[in-house]
Amino acid sequence: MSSRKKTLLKVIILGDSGVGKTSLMQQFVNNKFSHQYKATIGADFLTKEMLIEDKNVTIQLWDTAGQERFQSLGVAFYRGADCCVLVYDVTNSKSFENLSSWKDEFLIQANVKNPDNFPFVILGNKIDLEENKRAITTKKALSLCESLGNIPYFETSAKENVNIEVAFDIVARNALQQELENDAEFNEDYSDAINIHINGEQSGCAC
Amino acid sequence: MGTHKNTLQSQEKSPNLSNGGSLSDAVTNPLSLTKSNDNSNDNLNINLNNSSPYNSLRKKKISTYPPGKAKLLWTKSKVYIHLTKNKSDNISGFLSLIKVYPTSINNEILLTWFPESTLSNSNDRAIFESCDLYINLNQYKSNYNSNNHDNHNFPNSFNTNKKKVFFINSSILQSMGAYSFQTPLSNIFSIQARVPSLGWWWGSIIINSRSQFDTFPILFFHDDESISTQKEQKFKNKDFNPFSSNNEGQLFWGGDQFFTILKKYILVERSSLDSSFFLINPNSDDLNYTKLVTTDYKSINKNDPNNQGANNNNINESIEKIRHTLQNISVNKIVTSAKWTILESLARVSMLAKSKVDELVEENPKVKALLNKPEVVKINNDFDTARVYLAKWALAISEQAEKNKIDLILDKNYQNLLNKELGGNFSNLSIQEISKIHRRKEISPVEWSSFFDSNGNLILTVNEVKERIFHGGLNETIRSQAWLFLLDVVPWDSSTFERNQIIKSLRSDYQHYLNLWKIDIEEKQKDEYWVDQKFRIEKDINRTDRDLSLYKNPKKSSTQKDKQNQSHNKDENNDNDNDNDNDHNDNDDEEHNISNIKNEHLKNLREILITYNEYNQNLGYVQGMTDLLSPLYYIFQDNALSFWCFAKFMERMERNFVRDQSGMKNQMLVLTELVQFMLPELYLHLEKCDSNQLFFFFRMLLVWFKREFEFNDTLRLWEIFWTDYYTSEFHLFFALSILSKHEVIIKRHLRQFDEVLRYINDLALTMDINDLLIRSELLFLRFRRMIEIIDRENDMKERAKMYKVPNESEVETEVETETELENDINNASTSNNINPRINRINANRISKTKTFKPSEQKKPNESTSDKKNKNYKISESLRALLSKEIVVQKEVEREPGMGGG
Repeated sequence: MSSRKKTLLKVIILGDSGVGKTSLMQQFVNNKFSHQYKATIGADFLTKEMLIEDKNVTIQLWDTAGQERFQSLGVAFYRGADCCVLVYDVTNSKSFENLSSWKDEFLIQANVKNPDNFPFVILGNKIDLEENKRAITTKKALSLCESLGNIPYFETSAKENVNIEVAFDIVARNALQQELENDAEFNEDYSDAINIHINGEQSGCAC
Repeated sequence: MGTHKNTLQSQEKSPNLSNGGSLSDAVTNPLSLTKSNDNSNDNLNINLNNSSPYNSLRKKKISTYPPGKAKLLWTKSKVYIHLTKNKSDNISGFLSLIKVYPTSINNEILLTWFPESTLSNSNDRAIFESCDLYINLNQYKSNYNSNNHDNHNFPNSFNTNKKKVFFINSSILQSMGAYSFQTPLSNIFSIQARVPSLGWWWGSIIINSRSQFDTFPILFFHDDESISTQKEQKFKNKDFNPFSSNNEGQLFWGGDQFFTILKKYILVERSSLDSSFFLINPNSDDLNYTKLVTTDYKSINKNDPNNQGANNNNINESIEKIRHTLQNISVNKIVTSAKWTILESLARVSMLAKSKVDELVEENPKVKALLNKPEVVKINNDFDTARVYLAKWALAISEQAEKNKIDLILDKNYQNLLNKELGGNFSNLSIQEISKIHRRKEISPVEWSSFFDSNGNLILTVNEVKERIFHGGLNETIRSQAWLFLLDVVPWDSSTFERNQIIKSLRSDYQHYLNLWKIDIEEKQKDEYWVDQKFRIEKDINRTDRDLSLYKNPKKSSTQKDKQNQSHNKDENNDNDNDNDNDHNDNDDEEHNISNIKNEHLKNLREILITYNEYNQNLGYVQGMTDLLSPLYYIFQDNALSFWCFAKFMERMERNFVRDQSGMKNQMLVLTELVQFMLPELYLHLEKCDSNQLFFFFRMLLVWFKREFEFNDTLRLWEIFWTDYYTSEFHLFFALSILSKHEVIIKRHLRQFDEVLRYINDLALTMDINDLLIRSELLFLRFRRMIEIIDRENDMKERAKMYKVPNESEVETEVETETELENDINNASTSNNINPRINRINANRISKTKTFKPSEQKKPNESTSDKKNKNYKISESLRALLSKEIVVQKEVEREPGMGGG
């Protein structure tokens, strides 16, 4: 049954304001980059169809505002997440230091069942900027990722489309794994959902 | 459906009919048994019947046309192409069927569209216009007569037996303007129709050519401007028979006229795969394919609804079957060719904005479905309910709203009372009501100066000026004066001299706050919080309204205006000052380099915000403030004045930015109450979608719709909000108007939290500000009247209790206020006077008040008698919406060491 079901993977992208969350999402989904993205207010999402292990999945990426106080809104979108992407800006050490609090915040707010097993991916963005602006070395980043529980780490450039596909492929794989685990728990609910749907379906359209 | 059955039977008997091939497949398919109930095949019999006039037409005696003339068979005015999203780029034109030669040898009928402006000759235009009216209404008349025995509703002019024939100069066909097109009917592969009811104000058609190289623009039927459509609509309304089964839910639109006439001249077959698709002269392959798939699909949906548990296997089997079918026919002509035609047309209609195209694919579920090999994907998709959960605080809001709900949604007695007094259904704004009101012209500089005497004292009342601004807005050139009043930077009752004095002292005050950080900037750099705030500000001004030329990096030397400003703006970053002359070659990256802001105006924005951070230390800078400052700065381009306007504006906006977000939560809570009160049905639907906490309004409320409209529209909107003419919370009514406008679509098409969010987010930059302003005004007036009526009603009940008068007459009292709403606003009119039919229905409804059983919103444990004696209590938060007093909520004190996040 689950092999036939269309899978929706919900992914939350978090990180300090201005690290490039919107840009990463736009590059991955729409293959474009612009300097003109405005600061995200509220929340928005993009979806993309992907093929993961011969399975068609829809990945739904949620983008929220980076300033902390607006996270009380973001919370609404954390629930039911299958994976969380934490982003920092390699030229901004503060955004790096905040990674672990973003992670903790997410786990608390999303009310995840198995916090130890919940998949995260960390992205160090803006590697296109000059080397001398870089504040966080790859080594430092890797050691943090290890200490946070062997979180997969990628260095990306949303601007020049570096490592984006690769990173989101891992995001989707991990999310799918998580979704399948959740799926098993919710299996009972599905048969109901199907029947309700079939009965409510309307055919044709007046035109 | 009697005739329909006959048609089917006759087909089954004669499978050799050109389009009957599918039926043999259908018959052998056990799943197709349900087919005879399927309405979407109605067209089939129409087509079969209509093929006879088509043939007889050919047989008609061929007369000759006057020299140089072509015959105009049919035309329709006010058919538009939309070049961009911008309304002013729409082009109005005529869609016509033209027969050029009378001979049967060259019998081609041309379908053409050309702009109105092509018809420079007024005679030509008159011919098209009278043809539009005559043919379309005659068409309706003849249909009508065939269905009804009497035709007393028709004006005499249409009862004439003599058919008018319209000839036009053939030369028109050669001299059609830009964007026009013409194509023989036989060249058309399919036409896709989108009726207005699908959520589009205008219905549209997309014509797909058989040739891969012809693409045609999407044609929009502006029915609201077309006289012939309106007339026909009027007739239809007159003939409206509420018990007729034919009329259900079918919205009449201009496209109906087009298809009716088209069927006279060529075979039009509705695709049963996608009922918005009409195949033109399809060959049997096309039909064969579409029927086969449809049969399978439909029959699945009709699986016995009572047999809930047992049919999973059936469904799975059926899905397999469909999957199999689709796999085997993936090379089938319709898929490849329809898909390609659509894709090609979309991709190559270069005159349409890309966004328009995306919109079309994205938002028309049908097109999308077809492109994705629809049925399998769709069914699978629907099984997966993508659950989106509520947040903690959203939950709190929902719970609270739930608690209030019993009281907030009006019971039937009150609803009936309101329906009676306000006319029609109180929660719907009728089209007539809206179209009666127009926004006024913006205030010109001349008009503005006429408001003041020679000393600059106001000679009108403040309310009069505000009323004028509320209804028309301000010309851009006077905003820099008027906004100072609106934002309470200078008092209305002051002379020019006094105002100059005030401004002078404001400038020095600004300098004071500026100096707080600027004089000892090195000391400030040591304060982590301050550096943090500065960094936030810089990041955000770098991405605020950078598409405005004002905020782009200077390519040449500074403009005059910049130079003016420099007197107040000795920049703190002296190191950057020298760069100004050297940056002719700055590239895009440089333009967005935070550490090196070059545009003077961006520097000024930074200065103002850092100063505000000093001025309001508890609040500081919070994301979104750049959006509020940028329009003010754009108008004033003066740091001190922009700062004080911003500071005043922030007095009412501060609640949006406080750390615990309580100001936003409160507003959203009030808005949910307002939706329950004003749009109860929509509220119940949003509840089903987990969207009743109205998250999707967050962005709109936070920065007052700045992200939803073009920059200039935002300026207009804000100056209207600032007047507080009706209420200081008019922005909530404006938000309500957006919901009200999209109520039908939301209720009909949106089911889930993410769908609602997507839909509302995507409204950004597509909404018409004037339309919404009219709606919000009407909604406010209605809101005020509702409160009055309910108060009065409660008052009556109280008195009745006191004097122990039997409360028999509680519904039937005081009708004299009926026209008050109408007088509230110039030319505003309730639907009461406009649509006598609706009025009659209402009258009926009211006379039956006591037995009237509401079909919806019935709450399980609610007994009518209980409710009847209970007064509906208007909540304090709703009543507060009548106040013009600005709501102020300040940020609590910032503890030392606390960050600015």
